[in-house]
Amino acid sequence: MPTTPERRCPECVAAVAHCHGTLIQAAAPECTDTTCADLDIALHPLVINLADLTPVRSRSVA
Amino acid sequence: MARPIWHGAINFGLVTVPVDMFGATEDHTVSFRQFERGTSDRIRYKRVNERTGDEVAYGDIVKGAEVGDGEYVIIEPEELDQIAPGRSRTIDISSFVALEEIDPIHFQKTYWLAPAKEEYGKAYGLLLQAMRKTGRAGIANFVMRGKEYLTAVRAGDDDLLLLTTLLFAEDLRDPAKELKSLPEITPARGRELDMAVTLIDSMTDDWTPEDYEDTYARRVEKLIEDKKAGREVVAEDAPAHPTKVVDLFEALSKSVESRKRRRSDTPSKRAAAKPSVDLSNLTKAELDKMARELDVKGRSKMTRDQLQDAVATASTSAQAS
Ligand SMILES: [Zn+2]
Ligand SMILES: [Zn+2]
Repeated sequence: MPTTPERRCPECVAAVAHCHGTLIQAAAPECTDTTCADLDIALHPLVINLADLTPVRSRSVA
Repeated sequence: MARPIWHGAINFGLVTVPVDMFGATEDHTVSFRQFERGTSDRIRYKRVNERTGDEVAYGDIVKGAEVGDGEYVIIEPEELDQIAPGRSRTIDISSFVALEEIDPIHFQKTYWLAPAKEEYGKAYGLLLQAMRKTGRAGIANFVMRGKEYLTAVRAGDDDLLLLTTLLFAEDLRDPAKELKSLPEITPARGRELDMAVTLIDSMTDDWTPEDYEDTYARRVEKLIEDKKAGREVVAEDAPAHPTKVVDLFEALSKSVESRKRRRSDTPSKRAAAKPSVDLSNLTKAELDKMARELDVKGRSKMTRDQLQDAVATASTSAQAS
């Protein structure tokens, strides 16, 4: 049993399918984990919106 | 074999059935990886601490909600669990509705619910059969991975309960707020409306999803194969531009005409559905497809054997007529 993150992950403990990547929600969603097999939001405890990733300074005012 | 994405129980009145949840659908499109142009270097996403630039492990990432002025409140998963005790372990059916009542705009994603152990099969089977008999779907809320889902649970054709996640009413946008202007609908003229209805009637068909294919994905696969084999990739001709519609009525009646011609050229579905195979060798899905082509009523509620009988009867009467 790994000592670090996984031990604190309730999904790992419960042996249910999930992904440790962050799902980037967009028209074409992506996951930070390149081995991610399923972009279903239900499999991702960590989710972020593409719009929230855009650095403030490059957001256009138009 | 697929791993469940959630364990829990479904509550129906005082009956509790432990279930496992599995994804029932998947995306078939080609998934592309990202590279820097001119290199074979993959693009990767790294989750880093904004200040130190160091990568942060999954287990060390916590969620924070902005409370104004750049201040955040950090919320631990356990705290989310505590505000809705038990909600993340049970799917509580609160009411039953006719499935047709739910506007498809609410539908999101569908999962299978399977009994967690063989011994729960009896209660599970009872719930499934009762739902099938009434044709109703159970509406239930439950919490998964820190998010509440509104769901419809119904009996599927494969003797499995299906759970479809639904959008809440508050997730639906108001077009009056989002669109620059809403279309102004003027009452359609009588003969134009009649002709448009005739066209719809002439194009009316049974819903057979197997008839529709993602031809674009096939082309993408072919493009990849061609490039891999070093073959020249030939651009396809763009489809002809539709002729400019001058007279709406004329365009509609021409469409109805061409539709009629196409219908008379192709043999009818009834004739095509003549079974030349031994029905007892077919799967439930295959029999269901035949039943659909033969317009067998109530087929979605039939068992495999009932479907076989219905297909046999319907195809005999179709051959006789
Ligand atoms: Zn985990
Ligand atoms: Zn993922």
